[in-house]
Amino acid sequence: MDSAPRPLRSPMPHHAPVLPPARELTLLVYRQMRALTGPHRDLDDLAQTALEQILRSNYRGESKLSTFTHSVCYHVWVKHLRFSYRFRARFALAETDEQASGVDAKDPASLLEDRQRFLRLYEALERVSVKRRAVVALHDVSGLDVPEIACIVGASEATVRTRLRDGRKKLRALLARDPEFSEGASDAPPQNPPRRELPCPQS
Amino acid sequence: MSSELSELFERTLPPDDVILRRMAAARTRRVTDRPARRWPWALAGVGACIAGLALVRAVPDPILLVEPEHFDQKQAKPAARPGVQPTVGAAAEPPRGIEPGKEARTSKSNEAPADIPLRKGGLPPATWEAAAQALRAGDQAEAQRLLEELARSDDPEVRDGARLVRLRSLVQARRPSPTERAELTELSTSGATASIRAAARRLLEETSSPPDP
Repeated sequence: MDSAPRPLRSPMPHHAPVLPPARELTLLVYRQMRALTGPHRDLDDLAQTALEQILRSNYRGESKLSTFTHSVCYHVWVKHLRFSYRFRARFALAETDEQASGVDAKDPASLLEDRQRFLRLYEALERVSVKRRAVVALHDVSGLDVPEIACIVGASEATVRTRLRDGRKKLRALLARDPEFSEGASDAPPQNPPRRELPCPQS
Repeated sequence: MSSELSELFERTLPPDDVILRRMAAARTRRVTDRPARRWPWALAGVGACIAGLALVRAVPDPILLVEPEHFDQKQAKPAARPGVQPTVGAAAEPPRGIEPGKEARTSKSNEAPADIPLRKGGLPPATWEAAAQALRAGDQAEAQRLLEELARSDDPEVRDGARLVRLRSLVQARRPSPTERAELTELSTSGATASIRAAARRLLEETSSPPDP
C-alpha cells in the first residue's frame, strides 16, 4: 500500500491580535465598566483593575475584543461586589462620603436633570439582583445582543433571556415608582393587561 | 426603555479627557509605593512558607487528622512480608503515633467550631469569616494572624481591606504607633478602592483628634 504523501496544509496566516492603542482601550474599558457599575465611587479603580488585567492577559483574538474586555470588566465587577458583601457583612467600616464618580454631562444645560436620572436609574438597578442587573445593563445600556451577553456572563442564551425578562420587570416596577422616570414607565406595556371581557351571549 | 437608558448613559458620559485624567489618577495611586511595599510582604511570605514547612514536619503524621471512624484499617496495616502470616483475629495496629488506648487528635475537646473547616496543619484558613469570629471572640492574636494572612493576598482589594481592619483593631485599644500611622496614611492615599481610602482617611482623622476631656 503506497502511502501517498499527504498534501501539506497551507499554513494559516497568523494574525496576531493587536490591542488598540492605550488611549482607545482605556476609554473602551471605562465605558464598559461604567455601564456595569453606574456612578459608583470605585468606578475608576475598577476600570483600572480591568485594564491592568486586559493588558496582562494573552488576548488571542478568539472573540471580539469588546466581548473579551466586557468579560474582564464583568468578572472584576462581580469579584468586587462579592468582596464588598463579605467585607461589609462582617466589618462595619464607616460609610464613605466620597461623591459618586463618572457622572458628567457634556451639555451643561441638561446636567442636573440627566445626572439625577442617571443616579436614580442605578439606584434602582442596585435593587435588582447582580446577575439580572448585569444582563439588563449589558443589553439595555451597552446595547449588546443576547449571544454576546451569554458569552460574557458565561451562561446559556436561554438563561440570559430569562434574566433579562425578570430584571427588566423588576426595574420597570422600581422606576414606575420614581417620579424621574414615571413618564417613561408609562410608555412601557403594562405588566398585567386588563382582561378582555367576553361578550354576553345573546339569548 | 432600552434606547432611553442607552441615550441617558451616553449623555452623562464624561468627556474623553476627563476619563483619561481619572484613569491616570487611578493608575498613579496603584503604582505609588507598590514596589517598596511588596518586598517586606515577599519576605514575610518566604518566612511563612518556612514556618509552614517546619510545622508540617513537626506534626507526627497527617494520618492523625483523619477521623477515627473513617480510618481504613486495611490501609494502616503494614504490608505483609513474605513468609509472615498475619495474626488472625488480632486487633488492628493503631496508626503510627497513637498510643494504644489514646484517641486521635480529633477528639471533641480539640475540635474547631463546625463552621470553620480545619486545614491539614490544624489552623483554620484565613477567611473573612474566621477573622470576624476571632475578633468577636476577642482572640486578638488569632485575628491578627488571620488578617495578616489575608493581607498577603494577591487581590489588592482583599489585601488593603485586611490591612485596614487589622489597623482598626489595633488602634481601637491604643494610640497608633508611627509605623501604623504611616501605613494608615498610605492606605488613605493609595488604597485599592475609594471606599477603602475613605475609611482609612476617617480612621486617621479619628485617631489624630485629641481625646475628649
